Amino acid sequence: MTKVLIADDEPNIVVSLEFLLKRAGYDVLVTHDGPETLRTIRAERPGLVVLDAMMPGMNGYDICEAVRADGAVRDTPILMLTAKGRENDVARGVGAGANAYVTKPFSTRALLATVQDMLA
Amino acid sequence: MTDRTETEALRSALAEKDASLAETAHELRTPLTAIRALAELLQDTPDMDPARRAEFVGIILAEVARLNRLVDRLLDEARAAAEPAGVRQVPVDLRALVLDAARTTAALFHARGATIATLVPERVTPVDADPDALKQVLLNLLSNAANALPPAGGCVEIRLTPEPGALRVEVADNGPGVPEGDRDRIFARFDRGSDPASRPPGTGLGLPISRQIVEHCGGELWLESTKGSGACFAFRLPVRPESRSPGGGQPDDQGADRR
Repeated sequence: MTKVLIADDEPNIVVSLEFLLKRAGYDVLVTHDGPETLRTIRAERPGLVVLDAMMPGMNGYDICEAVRADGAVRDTPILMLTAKGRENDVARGVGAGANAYVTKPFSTRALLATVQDMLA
Repeated sequence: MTDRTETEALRSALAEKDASLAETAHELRTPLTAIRALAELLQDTPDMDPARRAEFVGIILAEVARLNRLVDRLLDEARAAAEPAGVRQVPVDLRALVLDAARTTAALFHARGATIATLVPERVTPVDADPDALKQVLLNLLSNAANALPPAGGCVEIRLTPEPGALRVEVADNGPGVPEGDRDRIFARFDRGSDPASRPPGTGLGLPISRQIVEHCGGELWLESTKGSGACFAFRLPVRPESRSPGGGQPDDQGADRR
């Protein structure tokens, strides 16, 4: 079963993502802040990370850059979630090394389709 | 030069408004995200376990309530921001107002084991202002001071001092003071300081509105503070023009009393 890590600090958004990805058959891990997310990526080597751009401790862009700079986990696919839909934020995410971008409020259907594409 | 300064001021006011708007949008979008995702999951999962279904519906309703509170708060703040434009201007005895505000907040300070000292002259020239709005300013400065006090040995001083053509009020506390980096920010809307651990209760609108009220009455409000030696907020209001005539201008302030 592919491991997917959900990194978001909003509990009710985590509830929905966790249900969505478990229902689709993934093994789900959850983290709530930046440093915990980076530790979990290194320790658990998830097949994909759904990463909130705005988290306490260390934001999604910084985590993305840290992952890309770490030889052991640099190829981890990252789907960035952001509350902003503006072009410069997408550019920032792509610049930091995110593979895909979904803006909040997201559609669970579109998000799941993106995850499945990325893992195909 | 003036044009440039005004353009700069306008630009920074707009940037501030943008930042507060972005923050509000983020606050609104978070519950919307949860509501949309959970509603879609309910729709797409007809065989969902009843306990799970009840949990999702419960979260949706809680997030709707959160949105409602946010909208209420935004409306309150918009209303509050609009208020100073409607303040009336009548002759006000600032001495009586200061004593009244100190009396009103005395219990607040005593409950914190703190002392409040009031230093006012025997009598002062009236100022042109809205007494209710001005009392709100005084209460706001005093309640900010109360929130800043150390757990023991707290002490607040409120001083009223005549100046040429004006009256000056100072509210000084012996709390931690305002850090250098926060001194401009505290007058911005929704700002409650950069340190979440020491963040005071409230919406972060008290100081900007207080400043607006004082400015509307032709005065100015500012912070005199150094970190570590407490904060002192001060404002100055011009006295009524007809009271500034020679002889009747400066009141006798020999008998400053401490109570």
